[in-house]
Amino acid sequence: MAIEVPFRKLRYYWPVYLLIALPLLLVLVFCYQPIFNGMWHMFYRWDGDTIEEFIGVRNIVKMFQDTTLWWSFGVVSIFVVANIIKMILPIVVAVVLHHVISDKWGYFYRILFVIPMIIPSMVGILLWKYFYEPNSGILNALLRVMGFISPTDTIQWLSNPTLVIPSLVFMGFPWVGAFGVLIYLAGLQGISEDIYEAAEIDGSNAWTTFLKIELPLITTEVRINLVLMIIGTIQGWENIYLFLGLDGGPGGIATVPGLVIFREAFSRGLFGYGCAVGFVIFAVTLVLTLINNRFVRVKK
Amino acid sequence: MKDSLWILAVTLAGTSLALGAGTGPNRKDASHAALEAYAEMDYAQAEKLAVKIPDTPNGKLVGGLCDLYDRSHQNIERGQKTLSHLFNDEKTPLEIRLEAGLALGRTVQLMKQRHDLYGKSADLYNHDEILGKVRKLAPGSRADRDAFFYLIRERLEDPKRSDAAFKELEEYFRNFKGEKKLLPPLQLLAEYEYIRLRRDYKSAVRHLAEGYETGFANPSQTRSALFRLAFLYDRKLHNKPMAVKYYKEYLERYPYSGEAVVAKRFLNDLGKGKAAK
Amino acid sequence: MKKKGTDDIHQGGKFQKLGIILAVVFYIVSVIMVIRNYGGVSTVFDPGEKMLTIAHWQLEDGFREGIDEAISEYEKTKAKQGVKVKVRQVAIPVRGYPQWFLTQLIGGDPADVIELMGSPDILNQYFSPLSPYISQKNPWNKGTPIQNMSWRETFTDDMLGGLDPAYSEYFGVSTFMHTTRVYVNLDLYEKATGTKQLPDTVTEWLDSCKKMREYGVKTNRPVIPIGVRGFDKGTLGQLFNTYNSQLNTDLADVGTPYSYGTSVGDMYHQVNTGKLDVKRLLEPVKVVTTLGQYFAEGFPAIDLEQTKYLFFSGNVGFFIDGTWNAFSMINNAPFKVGVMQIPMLSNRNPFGLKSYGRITELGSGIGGMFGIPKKTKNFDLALDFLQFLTSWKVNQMVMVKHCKWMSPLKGVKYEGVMKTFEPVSNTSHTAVFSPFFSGALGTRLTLQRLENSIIERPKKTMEYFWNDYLSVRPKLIDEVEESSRGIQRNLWSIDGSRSALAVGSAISRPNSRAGALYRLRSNINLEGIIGRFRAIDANTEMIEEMKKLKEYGENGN
Repeated sequence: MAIEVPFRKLRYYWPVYLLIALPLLLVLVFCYQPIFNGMWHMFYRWDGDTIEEFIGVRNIVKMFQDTTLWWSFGVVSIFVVANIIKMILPIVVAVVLHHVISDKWGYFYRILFVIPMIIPSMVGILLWKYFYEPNSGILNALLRVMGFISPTDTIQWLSNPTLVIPSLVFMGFPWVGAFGVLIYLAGLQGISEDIYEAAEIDGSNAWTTFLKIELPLITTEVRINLVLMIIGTIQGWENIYLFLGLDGGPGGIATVPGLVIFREAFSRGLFGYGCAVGFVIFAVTLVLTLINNRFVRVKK
Repeated sequence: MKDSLWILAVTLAGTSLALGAGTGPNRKDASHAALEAYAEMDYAQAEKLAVKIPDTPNGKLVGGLCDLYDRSHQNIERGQKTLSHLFNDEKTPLEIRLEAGLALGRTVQLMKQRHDLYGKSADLYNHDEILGKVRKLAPGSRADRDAFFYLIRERLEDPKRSDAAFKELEEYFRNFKGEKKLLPPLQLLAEYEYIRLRRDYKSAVRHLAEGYETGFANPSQTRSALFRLAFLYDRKLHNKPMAVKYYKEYLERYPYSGEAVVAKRFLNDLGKGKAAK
Repeated sequence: MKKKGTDDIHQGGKFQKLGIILAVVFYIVSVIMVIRNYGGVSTVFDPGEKMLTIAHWQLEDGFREGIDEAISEYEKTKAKQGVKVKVRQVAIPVRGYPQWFLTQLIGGDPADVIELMGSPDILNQYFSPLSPYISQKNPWNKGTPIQNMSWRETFTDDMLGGLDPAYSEYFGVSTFMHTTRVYVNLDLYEKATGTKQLPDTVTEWLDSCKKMREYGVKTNRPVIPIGVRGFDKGTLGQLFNTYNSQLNTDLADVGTPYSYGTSVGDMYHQVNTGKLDVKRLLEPVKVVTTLGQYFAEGFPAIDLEQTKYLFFSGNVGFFIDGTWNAFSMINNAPFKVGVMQIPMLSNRNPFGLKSYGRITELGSGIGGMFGIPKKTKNFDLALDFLQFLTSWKVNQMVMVKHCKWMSPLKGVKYEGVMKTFEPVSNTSHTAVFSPFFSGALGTRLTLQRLENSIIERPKKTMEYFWNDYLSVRPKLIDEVEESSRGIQRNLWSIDGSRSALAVGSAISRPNSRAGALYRLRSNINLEGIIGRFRAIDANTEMIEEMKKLKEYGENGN
């Protein structure tokens, strides 16, 4: 428990502050300094190296006129909503795992969920890319075998403008990531047995128990995951880049804000504009996080 | 007491060593090293060395030039101030004055072209005056040629001064007393501007041919100029004998180039008497 | 009650020992790997031995092996000359190369010989100019047919490809040459078309693609007539440029006011004044979109590796790619692979267009620029190694023997399948570039529009493409304006070079070689500025004319 220490006695605790100082310095240098540097450079035409020309708010004005950027925010909103829906399954799985009677089997199932975590995410993305490959990919091959399409037909999952976004949303099916499951499981395991006994005595069935007891008591974990998911989705762009390239698919249909930054900064050398877009992403993420904190309350 | 004496002895020894190390190479060496580092465009090293000799003309020159051309562009005004003092001080050795004046004049000219970026800083000096003075200090020299190059382009592009500028250009070539090898870049500029502003192919080709005969420094420029000569004589001046001469010369010198097939075709067309479009 | 403490501590102690042992083992392994990567024990413990590093992004089959053999040869030869040197090869994947390259240069400890990538400003700042050396003979060419030529003259393009137009300086020399060809699955081709004769014209090509598709339907196989690398739009660009040149090369004969060739501003000026029908510029769109109907379904999302996989699986008839993949294409296919040129548009084409036939490939396709950073500790040795790599015997050994690539040097004879890679030279027209490729963004947006045309299959292809292109005109103009600002900044840096060279010339001894080189480079510097003036003026004209362009049909087209 934290105790208040009078200022004059701080000198007796100097080793603690010294130990904190070093990581704090590293955080300032490697986390905060780039943020402030980026905010500074958003007012510049900057090539990422030494060419810096102060241009005032021109980058911000350009952002408001950039239809691609606004489109990308629309796309990322779709992904955020889809990811919120995708959060349901890990909760269900965690609840089911929590109720497994045998400790041995429960442990075994948990291991099964954890093992895929060791596969690098890049490998997963490339597998899904192969999955969606129109000519020899697994999905089209499956549809051919099941007779939904003829042997010479293909469905262009990543080239057909109407199918690109649904394909990206579907990626990761069945959307039961180990990280989410383990976090919810940890929350569920913190619920006292007495509460379950009281609920059983009161005649509560499984669904009522889940809705009225388990879900409210893991709201902290849900909120953590929601915040992390929102931040990750808004900032994420690597999947899109690997799947669809720098252009974000046919006609740029799946462009996300992160890809816009990468394109403008690293492909066109407009780092100043990239910083401006980055700042907007930061602001949007902050607003959504505040909304999340306000409305997703933790009931003690 | 004994401890204090030891401390004093060690401190004195250390100070002597530091002073000895601090003198380092003599000022003449530092001066040359600074210039050498600058010639290699190692601005960081050049500045470091220039700081050791701040009151010498070389030190001021290198310091001023580094401030101007350092990629961060943070100390342009300071650099220009230093160079302006050097340039206007008649006691400064001539070579240093010339380079100071050229660098100052040219960068001011470039700043005026980006007024949106440099604002009032671009108006602190008059580049016309500075470059003009450079020319007067060393007529026929490389510095004179460079200064004239920058000035004449600006004057040619100004509709009010263009006619006079073309006359000035021709006069410069006629009266130039310096090394002939200095002229080819100006001749290339003349070729370009005669075509761009007047579509005067006769004058353009005359200058291009002179530059080619004198010899361009860049071998790629030589190759391009030779093909251009042939093409301009052929397609713009309709001068068959000169076109044939230059096409043949091109094929002899550059048989593997992409334009070689075109030169052959044009030569054939000329041989068959096909009128150029 | 059981005392837990002792067992726990004992257990904890075992794990701590295991942890320490693992840490020590990993540390030792790391030290060994660092020493090994640095060049071996001999380099660490023998400071007399010099270490050179060559870095590149060529991961294609044969390249690294070729460089290894060249390195081995070099080390042996230098040892005989009494110079102890060890050369280390570092290969970085192309996706990460630009960032790695820049980090190395900024970090101050780059490889001694490094494959170039980046803007002229980067090259000027970090790389040693090679113009002082290119006029001298390459000493490693002694006893070869090109021994009497200067290093520059030994290249088929006279090192024009290595000339940076911004600084008029040579920052690198090329090490290989490529052309674009079509790899053919001969088994599939013969079964589908009933003939071994490969198509030479677009008409024949379209006909064989149609037959392949029909064959696929007949045999229930997903046959793809033309495989392309759609992900980076490489093939699309190649096809467009090829047919644009064949259709519009005569525009270069008319030339610009200054010279032979074309310029974007000049072409658009002719369109705006009615002297040139915009249809002519759009004709290649028609050709490529027709061919595009035979591309793989979903081709924009298919990258090179996937296309190669499809080709090796036997379902692709024609695969268009550069000769850089020849080795793997020919050796790794489980069927016989033929190589042909991209079929030309003859005058009897189905589009009714006038074509000038095949275009010369001389002087183009030269690549693999390697340069020497200023911060290298062994400049002379690095230069010597670079000359060694670009010498007649060694370059052929690396490129022709190992990679099955072409050498950029003169006097090289090719045999067998490599003869089909040789640049086309028996024609009388040169390539012209399309005005749509006004810059990097312009190229990307144009190819995106072309892709859209192929996917959407509109009735009026040219009109669709043109109007779609004009819809992104503000971005194109933006890019050209940015380019002009970049050139302005260049002029400042170029003046910095001028100043440095002037100082170098002033401090050199009279009549010294160093002084002469400074003066030579000074003149090169000034000659190059005219090119920058031209570029700025051309950009201004381009912007003015782009703004005046009208939608299809508005000015009588």
